[in-house]
Amino acid sequence: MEVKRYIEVSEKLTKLLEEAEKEAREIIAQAEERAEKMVAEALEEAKTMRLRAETGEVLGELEEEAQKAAEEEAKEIRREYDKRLSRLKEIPQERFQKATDLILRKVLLR
Amino acid sequence: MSSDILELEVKLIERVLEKREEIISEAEKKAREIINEARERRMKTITEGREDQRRITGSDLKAIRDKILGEAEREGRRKIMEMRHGEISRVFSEVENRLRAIAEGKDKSVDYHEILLKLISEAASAVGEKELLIAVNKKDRRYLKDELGETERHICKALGYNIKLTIEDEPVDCLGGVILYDHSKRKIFYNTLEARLEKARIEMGAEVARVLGVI
Repeated sequence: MEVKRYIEVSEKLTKLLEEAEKEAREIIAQAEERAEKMVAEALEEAKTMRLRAETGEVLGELEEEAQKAAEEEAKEIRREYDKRLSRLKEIPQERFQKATDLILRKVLLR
Repeated sequence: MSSDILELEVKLIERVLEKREEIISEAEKKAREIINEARERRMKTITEGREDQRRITGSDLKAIRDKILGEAEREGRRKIMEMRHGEISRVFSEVENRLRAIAEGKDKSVDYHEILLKLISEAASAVGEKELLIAVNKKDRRYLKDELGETERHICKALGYNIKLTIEDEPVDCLGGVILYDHSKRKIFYNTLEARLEKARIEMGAEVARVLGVI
């Protein structure tokens, strides 16, 4: 009686494990399917991107992007020039005096 | 049923449930790895596509970039140049003010008459004639009329030969200095302060900028 019951329980547990393995396979299969779809879509998108570039269709979009990036760089260039300009504008009085004297000497033959 | 067997059965069930949990958990972990790997591949593929687009349209995009950055560079250089020009002009304006003060005798640190003699000597040497006409402003004309003999002697000594100076009737409108002609007015030498200042402006711009430190 006890042996029979033990066999029954064992069979149920074995079935439970088989079902778990089946469920696991399904989880992985679903993930693989999803992954495959993602990669396939990406490949298709990249192909479309290349095609749009080759036909010039995407040029406007990329131009806009390049323009934005270049304008940011240009801002930095302007900032650098403005900084340089501020530095250069701070002329000490003695330099101004020295330049004035230099010209005066030349003009007055001294 | 003995309690030993029951206990064994409970342990067996627990172990199987743990194993089941482990199988599912492993599968979920693997699934996450698969999805993450796919995401990376998707990102890489899209990035490559984007790079290909840039490569294909590269020269057009480079032209846009060059144009915008070139404009910013030109604008920056122009601002620096304008500032430099402004500062140099400021120096020359100051020099002009000082020249005016010197010529009017308001600046006692400089002997203007001595300068005038030097300017006449230089002009006479350049013209290279013995009979010379000299044109100056009204104030210097009055001075030279009174000091003509002394001026001639000074110039002769400086040049090493005799010359004869004649003062033009009409005064010149200038800060100071002289305009010297030969007798026939074919040779002319402008040695006014304005002419010398203008010459200095042309010749000394870079040097003045260097002294000011605006290069």
